[in-house]
Amino acid sequence: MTVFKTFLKVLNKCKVTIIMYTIILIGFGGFNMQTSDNSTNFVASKPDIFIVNRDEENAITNNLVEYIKNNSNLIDIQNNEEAINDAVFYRDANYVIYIPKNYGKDFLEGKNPNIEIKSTGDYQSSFAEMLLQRYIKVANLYQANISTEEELILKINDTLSKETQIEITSKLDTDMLSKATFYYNFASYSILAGCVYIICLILSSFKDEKIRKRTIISSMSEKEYNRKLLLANSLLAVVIWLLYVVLSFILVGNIMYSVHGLVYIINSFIFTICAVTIAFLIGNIVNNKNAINGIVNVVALRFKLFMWCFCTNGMDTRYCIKNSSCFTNLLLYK
Amino acid sequence: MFIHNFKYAFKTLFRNKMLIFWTFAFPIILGTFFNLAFSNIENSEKLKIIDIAIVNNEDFQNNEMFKEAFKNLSDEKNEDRLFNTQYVTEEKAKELLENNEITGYIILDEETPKVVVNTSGINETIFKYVTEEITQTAEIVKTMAQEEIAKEMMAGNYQIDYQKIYQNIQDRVQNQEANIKNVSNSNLSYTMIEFYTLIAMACLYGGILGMVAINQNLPNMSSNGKRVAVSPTVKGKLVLSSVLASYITQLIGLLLLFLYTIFVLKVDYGDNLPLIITLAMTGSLAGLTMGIAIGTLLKSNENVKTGILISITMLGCFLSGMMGITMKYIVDKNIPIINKINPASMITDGFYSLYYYDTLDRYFLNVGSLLIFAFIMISISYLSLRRQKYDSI
Repeated sequence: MTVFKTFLKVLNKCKVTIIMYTIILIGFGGFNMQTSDNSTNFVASKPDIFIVNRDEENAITNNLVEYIKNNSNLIDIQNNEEAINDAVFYRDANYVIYIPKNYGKDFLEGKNPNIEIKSTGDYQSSFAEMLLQRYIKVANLYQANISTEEELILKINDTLSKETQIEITSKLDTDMLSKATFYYNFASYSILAGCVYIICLILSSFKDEKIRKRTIISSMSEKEYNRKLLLANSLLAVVIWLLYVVLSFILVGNIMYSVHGLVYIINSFIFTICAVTIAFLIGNIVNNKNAINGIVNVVALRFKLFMWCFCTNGMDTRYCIKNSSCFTNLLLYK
Repeated sequence: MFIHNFKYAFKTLFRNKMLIFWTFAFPIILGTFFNLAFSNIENSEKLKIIDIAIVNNEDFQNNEMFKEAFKNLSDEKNEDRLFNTQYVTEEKAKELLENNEITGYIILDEETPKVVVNTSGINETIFKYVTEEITQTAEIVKTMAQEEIAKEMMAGNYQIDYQKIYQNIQDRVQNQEANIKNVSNSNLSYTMIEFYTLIAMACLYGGILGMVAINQNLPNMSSNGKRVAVSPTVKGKLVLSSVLASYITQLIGLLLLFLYTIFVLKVDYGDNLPLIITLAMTGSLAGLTMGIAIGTLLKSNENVKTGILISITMLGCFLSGMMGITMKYIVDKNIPIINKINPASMITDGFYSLYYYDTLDRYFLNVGSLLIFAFIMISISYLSLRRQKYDSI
């Protein structure tokens, strides 16, 4: 009990760290909840496109812009080259279309005028290019046979409006599921960083020379002392884990009452056990209190970089596995 | 006295393990993690061949347009290959989809296709879009053929070669080319930003060196400072030699980081080496002067000063994109003033402009901003340091 009481006293001093990590988690969780827009129906992906239209007064050009607008997210950035280049580099725009002056007129004259584009070269930009190519090809085909602009536009729109029937088999609410995934991915980082930081700090206090000497001469055996410390650490970790589980019910909502939610909870519990053992190992190796900050940064950031940052953002999980095979514990959690 | 103090300040800095960890080892460790996490990340974002299935029923067998289109799009010899297609029964297609072995499958009912997928996503959208495109093309061919036949009949030609008409139209459809010219910059690797923020962080962490060195000369901070204060030497010389020792230590750390990132991690800083060195040296100066300013302005102990300096550095790096590449862009777009006064952002943006832009205006703007920042920090430190007197310590 003496060991446990001392443990709680030291723990009391670390409450700020726990609160800090929790606030960050709530902040990120809350932010994420406003960003997802998937559901149980099929939602087509839309690339982010910026159009520099230098031929605004032409109907055929405006129809092209309208078609792109209906199949993508037209983004709003400053119409200057530096802002456009920055937007492409930082993937704010997947695709930029420069419609030249007199494009519509030249098109109607059958010149197949040139359109310049800027592309990020990723999935979304490839899809954006498909959209643009499709429109131009269809328009070119009809242009040879149809003389009036209105009729041409009608024909193009009629052809491009034909949609294929699509059936989605999964009845899972992907929006809610992605929120839960995001939450538990970040929770893993918080649990690990919190456990390593707090347990290392507590263990280093117990390793203080004076306290260590007093412990050695006490009637308590070394085995019992270690067992109590490990138990106290485990209890602390369980409390942290419980805190995050309770928070997940508040932040994520109904999906936590499903089988998927249960799997997330069990998964995070097993990971918490791993985090305790990692923290206990580091705490027993490291004696210097000043080094703990650096170690927490290095250990927790390592996992954060490999898993949380990227895998949640729709990255190919196989890529994560391939690149992180040497860091197995959080990978298994994934 | 200058050389003497310089030599000992240099030795003191190199023997401080905590300093060496944060300024030499930590950026290298972080850089290694960045590399492990980011290498090849951009390749995984490029469009890859999509695994699909087609239900090989009678309707599909009778539909030449679909058969030909998917044959072409799945041809291994085709440079624009989009799909890896399996021709299976409906039960098998369902099984493949259930096991996530395919993105989706198509089943044709007469001439109408139905796409079945597991979930929403970019692969699923492309699959649906291509199917639509084939249907639309079939419609165009049909309409144009009808018009062509009508024309022939109007002209009184009743010996119509339907096969030839269809073939001509199909050739026209297939030979259509959109006149699109890609004018994108070839340097589009956004993960480079992470490494640039790493350099920015290393530059600003150099502030710890400057702060420790200046603390050695402050009577209220160390015993060494008290001895310096009562010694019959010009204080300016001592401070300057300590600062120079810190700057050189910082540049050695930065050189190691550059060598490591260039030769081991293969980071691309652009081709202009003198400009890269100039930016790194200016950035280091900004970091160093910031450390000195914090060291002289604050009257608290060294740990508090270090904590504040690290916090400012990490906040600056966060805003310049270290914890999320797009953060710098978001700040630049919405609250640009923050990054205009953030030295980490100036350094990051300087490297970014060297890497991405052909012109040097933006680069020189950043170097100039860093110099102004360093000048302000030096002025603050100078005003704070000069004519200090203590009634008691």
